[in-house]
Amino acid sequence: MKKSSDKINSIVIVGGGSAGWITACILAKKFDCSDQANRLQITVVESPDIPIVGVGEGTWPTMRRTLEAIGVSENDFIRNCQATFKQGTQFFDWKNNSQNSRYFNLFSSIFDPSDFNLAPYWMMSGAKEGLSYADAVSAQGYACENFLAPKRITSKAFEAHQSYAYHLDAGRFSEFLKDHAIKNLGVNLTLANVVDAQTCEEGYLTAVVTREGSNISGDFFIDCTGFKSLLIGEKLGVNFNELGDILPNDRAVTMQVPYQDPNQEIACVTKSTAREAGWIWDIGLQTRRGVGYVYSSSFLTDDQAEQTLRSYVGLEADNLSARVIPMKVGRREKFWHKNCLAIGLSAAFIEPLEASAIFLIEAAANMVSDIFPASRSAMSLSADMFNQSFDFRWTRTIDFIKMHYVLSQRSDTDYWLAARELSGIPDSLQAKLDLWEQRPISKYDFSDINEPFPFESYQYVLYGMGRVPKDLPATMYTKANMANERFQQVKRARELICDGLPKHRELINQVCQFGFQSI
Amino acid sequence: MSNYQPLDKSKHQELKIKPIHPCVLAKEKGVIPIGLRETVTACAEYPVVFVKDDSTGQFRLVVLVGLRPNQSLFYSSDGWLGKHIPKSARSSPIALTQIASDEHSLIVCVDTDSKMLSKVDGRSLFDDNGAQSDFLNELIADAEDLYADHQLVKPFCDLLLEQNLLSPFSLNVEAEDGSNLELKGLYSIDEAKLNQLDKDMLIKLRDQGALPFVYAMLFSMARIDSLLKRYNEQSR
Ligand SMILES: Cc1cc2nc3c(=O)[nH]c(=O)nc-3n(C[C@H](O)[C@H](O)[C@H](O)COP(=O)(O)OP(=O)(O)OC[C@H]3O[C@@H](n4cnc5c(N)ncnc54)[C@H](O)[C@@H]3O)c2cc1C
Repeated sequence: MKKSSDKINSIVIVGGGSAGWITACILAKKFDCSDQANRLQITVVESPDIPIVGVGEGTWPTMRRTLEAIGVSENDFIRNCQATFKQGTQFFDWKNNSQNSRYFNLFSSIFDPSDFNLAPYWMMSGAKEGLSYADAVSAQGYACENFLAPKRITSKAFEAHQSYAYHLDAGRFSEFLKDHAIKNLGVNLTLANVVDAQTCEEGYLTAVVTREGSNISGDFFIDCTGFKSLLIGEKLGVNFNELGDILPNDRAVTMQVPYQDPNQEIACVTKSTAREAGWIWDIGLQTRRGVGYVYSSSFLTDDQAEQTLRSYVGLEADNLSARVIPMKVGRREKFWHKNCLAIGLSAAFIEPLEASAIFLIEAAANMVSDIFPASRSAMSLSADMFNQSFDFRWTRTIDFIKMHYVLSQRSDTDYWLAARELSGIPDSLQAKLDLWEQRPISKYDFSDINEPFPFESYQYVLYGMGRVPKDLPATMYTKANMANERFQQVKRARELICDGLPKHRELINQVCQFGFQSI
Repeated sequence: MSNYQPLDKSKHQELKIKPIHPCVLAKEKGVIPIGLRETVTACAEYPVVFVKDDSTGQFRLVVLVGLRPNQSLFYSSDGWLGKHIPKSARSSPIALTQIASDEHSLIVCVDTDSKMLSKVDGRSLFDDNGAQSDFLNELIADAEDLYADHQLVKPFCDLLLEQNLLSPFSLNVEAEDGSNLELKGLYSIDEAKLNQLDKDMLIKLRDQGALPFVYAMLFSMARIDSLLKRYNEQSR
């Protein structure tokens, strides 16, 4: 007979940043914790003294599904979180350091490339005439250049003409989710500083100990304490593997730049501009931009980095303060150990290029909610599965981020030369790059369901950086007529779609004043 | 275009209004907004549906008078071809508007660009002593009525949305001449959902006085056939 204590009746989440609250919302919704009769309790323990990291403003389109699934209104979210729309990322000066090196990684193409891949035909025709890959297959680059929104006020909430994600204010986002979790989803909140944790003989966590004096016991613990990794790292001693030899960026200096004019256009993409020893992000929210220089301390001092960021912003930076954030780059050897799961910065972090962190938080919370063990006896199997899956996802994320550097031809600084040194390139990435020198990227390169970045993202980045196979045998690509027809359709679609789209700022104003309908 | 200015005796004392085609506003409009109570009369002749306003995304209650965007099957140079002329299609240079700072007070405005205005012929807005003419009082009463009826639409619509009773639909019919007539972005009562509504909700709809309008909208769907008939006759 099983002991009753074997059952999992309570989940304790330590940490109230984006990771803690996204996880709490997804689990509480899944397990219907607002229902009084439900015996599964979720408690978030949040420190009243330790601030959240407060950055992390770029997301992926998965966020739409997440918000809809946890039952928040898109209007409320946009109004409360300073949120704006994001249609992709625009890269500047990554290819080389000449003035005209820019390309888009967009969220939607007009035709699905896994259905009919236009890329080889673009290589054989458009590319030779200077047409960018993004413009050949998508309307979104044009929309972004013209500050157009991805949808209209008459579209229903979360529905997209062109796929989109959000830019958001990280601090407000956590507050917003917290409010929703407590008021609508039945999550409990305890404000306390955790100083230690208790374990049983088998090494499972049984309670966290707070400075305020109370112990909070639980059956399952989620470590969302940020870079501190209080439970999985400090208490349970799961190793942290640094990744500095692959991705050397370990610091960021950030700034919030208010718009000078309330009607200033809002960019509908994340801008990423390569610099001497890293890159600068530039994200437009409703009343301000968030900018930050991500760099490697082996190549640049904090002061130098701040100077570069200030000169990027220009005169507007004059009276603004900057904040330096040290980043712990690497990942836990395991994310789920015994009855403790790490989600968010406590689990792993690599530099924020391509905004991978929040979407991996969503993915982790979704996965654990789906395979959640009902009892301790089922714990280790779930843990193994989870660890395997996220080991794969992080490996691929690292490959994808590293690829941006490997493809660069910049040679203006030691930093950029070092970024391409062979010793730092994972074998798994090198193998793919070798393959893609020979043939176009194929959907079969991404057949694993855990693949974090879609097939299309690789196409946008690789071809945006100008890496195409040297010769393509025309005999293998015999559908040129069909391809040409599609290229024409993309062009027409661009006019048709973009004609009806409002400016990004206009749509944000309409959402704040009127809002999308739910149907 | 129109240019509504607050009606001001000192500025507008000499204005007269020419008798003019009563539905001149509705020339190229395929949909015409109506108020809630107007639904009851309108449903006998036109499909009554919701559409979204292009610049606010908010729902408007409208009658369909055509089967294609911007097509009116009821407008003719001799007059309106239907029995019920939607009130907002009857042209009047007088309208009420809300004062931005105070949603409860309304002011009477005059459209100074209206083709109906004249200083020479027509009926006067003010009498010789500068007092409002009976004619003006009638126009104001009509405008008040129109305004009040339109104000009832939002609470009705919110109630339907809350009960999840609206569904989007597209209208797609083939005419005798072979042309395909299509209207997108329409919303109407979802009959299946209405029939599944639990008792308490149904009672709520009844108590709020919404039921007659719900059924009026449902019945009005049969008028799509009348529109098609009209289209076929006109294109023969
Ligand atoms: C420079 C930079 C830029 C980034 N940009 C992006 C981006 O564009 N897109 C993206 O997806 N991600 C980005 N990220 C990552 C993203 O910010 C994080 O993944 C996300 O905010 C989740 O953080 P977190 O909740 O894990 O940690 P935190 O926000 O640090 O939250 C930790 C929480 O734990 C609590 N806590 C800590 N110690 C204790 C204790 N002892 N007792 C009780 N509570 C405790 C704190 O009070 C806090 O509530 C970026 C990160 C950095 C550093």
